[in-house]
Amino acid sequence: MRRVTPWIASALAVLLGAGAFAQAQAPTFRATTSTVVVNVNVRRGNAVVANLTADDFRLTDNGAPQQIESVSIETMPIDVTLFLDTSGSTSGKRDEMQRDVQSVVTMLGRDDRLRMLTIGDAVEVALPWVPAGTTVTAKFPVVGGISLVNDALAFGLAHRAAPGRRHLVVGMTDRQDCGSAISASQVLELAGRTEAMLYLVDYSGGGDSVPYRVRSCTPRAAAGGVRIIDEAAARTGGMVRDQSFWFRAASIAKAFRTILADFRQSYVLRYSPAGTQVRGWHAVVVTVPAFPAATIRARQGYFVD
Amino acid sequence: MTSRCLLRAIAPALAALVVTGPMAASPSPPDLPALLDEYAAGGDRAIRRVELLGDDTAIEMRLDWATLGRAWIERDASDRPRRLFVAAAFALETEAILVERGLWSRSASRKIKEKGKESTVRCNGACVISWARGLFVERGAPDAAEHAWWIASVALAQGVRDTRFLLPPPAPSATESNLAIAARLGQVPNTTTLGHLAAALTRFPNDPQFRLAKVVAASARFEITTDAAPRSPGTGNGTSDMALPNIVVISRASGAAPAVPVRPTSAQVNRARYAELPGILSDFEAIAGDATAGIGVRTEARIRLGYLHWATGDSARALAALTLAAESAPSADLRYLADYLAGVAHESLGDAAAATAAYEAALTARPHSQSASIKLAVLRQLHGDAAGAQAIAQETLDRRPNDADPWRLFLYGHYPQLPALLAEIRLQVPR
Repeated sequence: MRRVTPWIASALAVLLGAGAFAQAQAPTFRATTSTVVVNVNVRRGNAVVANLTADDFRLTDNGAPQQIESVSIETMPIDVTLFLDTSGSTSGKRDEMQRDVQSVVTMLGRDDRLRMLTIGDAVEVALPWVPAGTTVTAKFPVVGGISLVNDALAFGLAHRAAPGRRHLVVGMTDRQDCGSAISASQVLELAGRTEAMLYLVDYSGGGDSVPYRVRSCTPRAAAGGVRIIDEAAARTGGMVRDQSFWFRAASIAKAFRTILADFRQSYVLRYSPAGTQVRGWHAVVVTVPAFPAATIRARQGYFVD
Repeated sequence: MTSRCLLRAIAPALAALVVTGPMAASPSPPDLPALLDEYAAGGDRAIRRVELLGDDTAIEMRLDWATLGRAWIERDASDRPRRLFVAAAFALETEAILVERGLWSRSASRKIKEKGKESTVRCNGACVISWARGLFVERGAPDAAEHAWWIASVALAQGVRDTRFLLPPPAPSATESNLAIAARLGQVPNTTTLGHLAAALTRFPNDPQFRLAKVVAASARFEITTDAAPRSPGTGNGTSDMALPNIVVISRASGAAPAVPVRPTSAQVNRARYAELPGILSDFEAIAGDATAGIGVRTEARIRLGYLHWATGDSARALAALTLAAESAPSADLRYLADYLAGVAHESLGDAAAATAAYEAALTARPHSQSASIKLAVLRQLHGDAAGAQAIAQETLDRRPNDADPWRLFLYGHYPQLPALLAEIRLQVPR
């Protein structure tokens, strides 16, 4: 698998040079310049629509129809970044978080690996990259008065899996940020520049039972920050598991199992963009004409800088 | 296992429990005079004892200051000045412990009888510090030891962002009423009509540190937000949304109060409060240009001035103040803050290259600090350097600094320096 952004940057250097003249040419992709990877989940009700081939999909890039080069239900190993929101608002679930981490590790495939980020007075690595099957002990305090959700997601999305691997980011968080250096809008922009899929679980159990040691919750995210973060997940082809009845009774381990299954059952489409502008936002639309009633969740696009 | 075996197995544990008692889990009510004796004699034992108290017991102790604490002070007339200072210092130290547990605002209450009429006295952290500060009036002329106490007490209140306590209260609160009762009973001097910083300035007129703290508290009424309306995917150009600044006014003095957006949606509602901003900006400017103030105070004033300019949408003025601050910063932390916030202002102006340079300069002052590192990583990623972003992010996570990020310190006021300030006070206690 090749990466879009650096590849395109290289291609731009060749195609455009550094001068204004080159920029004025409004260059377009050539079929051979790069490969775009799009994760697609196709469902009818709760059932995955299986055995689809490249001919079953229609994909447009900024409205231009594209030739899909390959489709696979990925068996590639996965890098999983699990972000547990350990701010005060989720404190009631700390014990569950610590207990379930081992269960999560046992769900990984043979060549998968996982790391875990938490929030203290900074974003912290509660668990560095560990391979599947590792016995882990995760202990972390819950810290009130600060909630670096945006920073943690930015750290998570900054990771690029090595060639031949995929990256899954799972955030168990209420998305209520305060004190982050990074804004929700910047997380949204990052989501348009990553091949990772971001899943969020609305994890607000326990209330703010840890009193603020000091009230550091400033700057706080503006109203609407949660919606923007949710939009970021959708942009990657991921989703938000909200506080449905389903999740209220579910543990972290169960939620993670569902997400992992969803991720593994996603089709991975690859194409080389053609007939579309190089720079800026590329809106990607995927359809499956043979199943017009199917629910299709896919990466919504990508930026070329 | 038979019951006899079981009993034998748990006997040592039971014996240990009987011998040691349940002190750690449920300590006895504290003997405040004894604690004050221990504290006056030096060492950390009195502090350790308070740390072991349960929340309810520790809070209950707040009500003892005006009675038992006062009695301890008056016990030895020849030692009174020293005892006044010891009591004020220990009161501050106990409140610092309670603040770390999030108990600043929680009041202890007790019913008292005055002229046959029953009423309830309540006392929270602000009440204790107000009582303690009154002791200095009795002690006499201000000195360096008293100055250290005021600086530490201001830092404590900054940490809990209690601007109602720091600044003159707009109306008598429950705390003032309670203290008024105590004052009537001759238990505390009635100084509570003043905000804490105004009280500090009556003791140390025109002191630059307290003047700065006063303006910082006034500006803390405005809560800065980091975000604005999301851009649509089709218009993204890789810069952040900070070009649309958002500043909100908190309707109550506490940082936890509900925030009401002033710009751009509810300006009319909070026009009166918003009108305070120009005065706050000019106060910061005055302190920044005050040659009698120390370089640290002037630099911090410039940094906070720059931050407020940025928050109100004037990034050019913000950069002017922050550039001056960076040039004169006497410490790595202040240098970091000046450069970090300059980076934020450059981002608002859409100048990614200058923002990158500013964040890199900040990291030169304080390597691996997370706020500038993640800013730098995100800038790289938003401008096509995903590999560079990953490298910075990974290195930052791998090398967690031992000390706190200056950006977080900025948000806490001088609270992070409180342990050092308290240590300074202990040195001032005459033994």
